Amino acid sequence: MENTSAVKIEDLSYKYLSSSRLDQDSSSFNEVLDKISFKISEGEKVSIIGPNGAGKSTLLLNIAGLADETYREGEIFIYEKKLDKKSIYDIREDIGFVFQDPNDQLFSTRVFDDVAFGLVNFLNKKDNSKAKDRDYIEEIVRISLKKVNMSGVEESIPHFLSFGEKKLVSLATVLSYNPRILILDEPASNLDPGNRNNFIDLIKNMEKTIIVATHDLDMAYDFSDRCIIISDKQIVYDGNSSEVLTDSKFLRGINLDLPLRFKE
Amino acid sequence: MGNFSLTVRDKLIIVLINIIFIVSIAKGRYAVMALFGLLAILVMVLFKPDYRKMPRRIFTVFLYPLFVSIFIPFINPGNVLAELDLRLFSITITDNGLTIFITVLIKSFLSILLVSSLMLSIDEKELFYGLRKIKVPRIMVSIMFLMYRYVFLIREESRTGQMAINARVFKRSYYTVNRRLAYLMGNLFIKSFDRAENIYRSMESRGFTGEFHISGRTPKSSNLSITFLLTFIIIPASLKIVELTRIV
Repeated sequence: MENTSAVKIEDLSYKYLSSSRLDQDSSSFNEVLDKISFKISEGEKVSIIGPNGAGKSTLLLNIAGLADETYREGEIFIYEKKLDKKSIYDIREDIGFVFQDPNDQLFSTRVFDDVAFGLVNFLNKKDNSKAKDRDYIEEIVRISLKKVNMSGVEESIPHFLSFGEKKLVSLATVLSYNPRILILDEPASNLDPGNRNNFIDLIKNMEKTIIVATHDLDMAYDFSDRCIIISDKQIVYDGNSSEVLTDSKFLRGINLDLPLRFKE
Repeated sequence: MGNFSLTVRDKLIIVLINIIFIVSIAKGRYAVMALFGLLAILVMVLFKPDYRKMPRRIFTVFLYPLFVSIFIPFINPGNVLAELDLRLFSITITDNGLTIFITVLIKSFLSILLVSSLMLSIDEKELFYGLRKIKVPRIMVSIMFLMYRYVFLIREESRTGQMAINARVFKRSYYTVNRRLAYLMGNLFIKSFDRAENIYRSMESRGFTGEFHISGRTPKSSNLSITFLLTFIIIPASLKIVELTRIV
């Protein structure tokens, strides 16, 4: 199981158009990632850590094929399939992306529609007759919400859910189409300790490849076996979580700090 | 018949065709307009909208054509019905102007009644699905959807921005509050644009390609619904013939 590569990144560089200038000469770009490479095996749980502006979210958007390809160099492979304009629609089915702000994820007037959205899109893409089977869709939505302990909110308006509930429903919106890779951007941000712990337990026990970008080093310690630390556009560490997250000298050198549990 | 409902596509076609015929009624043909009014009520009953919301929705939207057409009685030539001398200039109301004004209002009202019946009998996703079914280009439907979402995003961002202003305004004055509100307006569009982009990304990540699908079974056009569709195309067409042949 560990041998299959779920994500492979080779010499990935990414730059953003600078907001201060609109002409597109070379000086108007900000480079956020500079020739980074790594591989994530199937079933691995990986935390991507880095100070603010290190490029964690940009890296996740690139893996999910959601970043503008124009500004990208290098190659990304998802299950050995090269990510490009042609393959992106096939690859998306393998990736569930949960955004940092659940309000970006939930756009419908009913939770049911949001959870069913991805599922119905992918079933229709494959011309699967189940796309028209209301009972099937309802059952999958019910199971997805149950997985995140949010049973019974199908008819609720997402806008009126609490932040923690929105986060959980956001996760259900991608679980409904059963992607092989889950990508979560700051999943524990703005959650109270109870919801945070529940959320970590939930994703920790999922048998999927999970990539999490986070500032929450306690969460990274609890959740992942492997950490990739990005600083100054490059990977400065890729290895065992428990080793690096107890090395205060190294962490302070890159504007991070020990997880709270290790602080005196 | 009890559980019978038209497909979104059929509803859209009925509304669009009826509106085209209503808009094409000649000025002053009140009898024809009354017949189209009866037809619009029939369509409303057939669509089964949320009746409680109808009056408010119609009134709110009707204000727009009312204000736009308010000057029509004064600017169209015709026999003068009344004249008001305001020293610097005088205002005259003509019979022709008044007829056009009333015609515009009736046509607007009937069109709004039909559109409101449609909008209050389906949800927004069904509408976008229906638009694709009548072959409105994918890109246009996506733009419409994002514009629709954009309104709510602006409202949400505006609320947050206003709270941020109120939290830091210690002395309420016209200057402090309004100047900040002006800044807020600028910021609002940038923030909402960002949010809209993120929402689009989240949709893309879940397989959205511009096509809107309704979750689950979609009602198929039955013989009964096709009969209704044809009936509600033939009736307005017949009324148009009645109008043209001046039977009423």
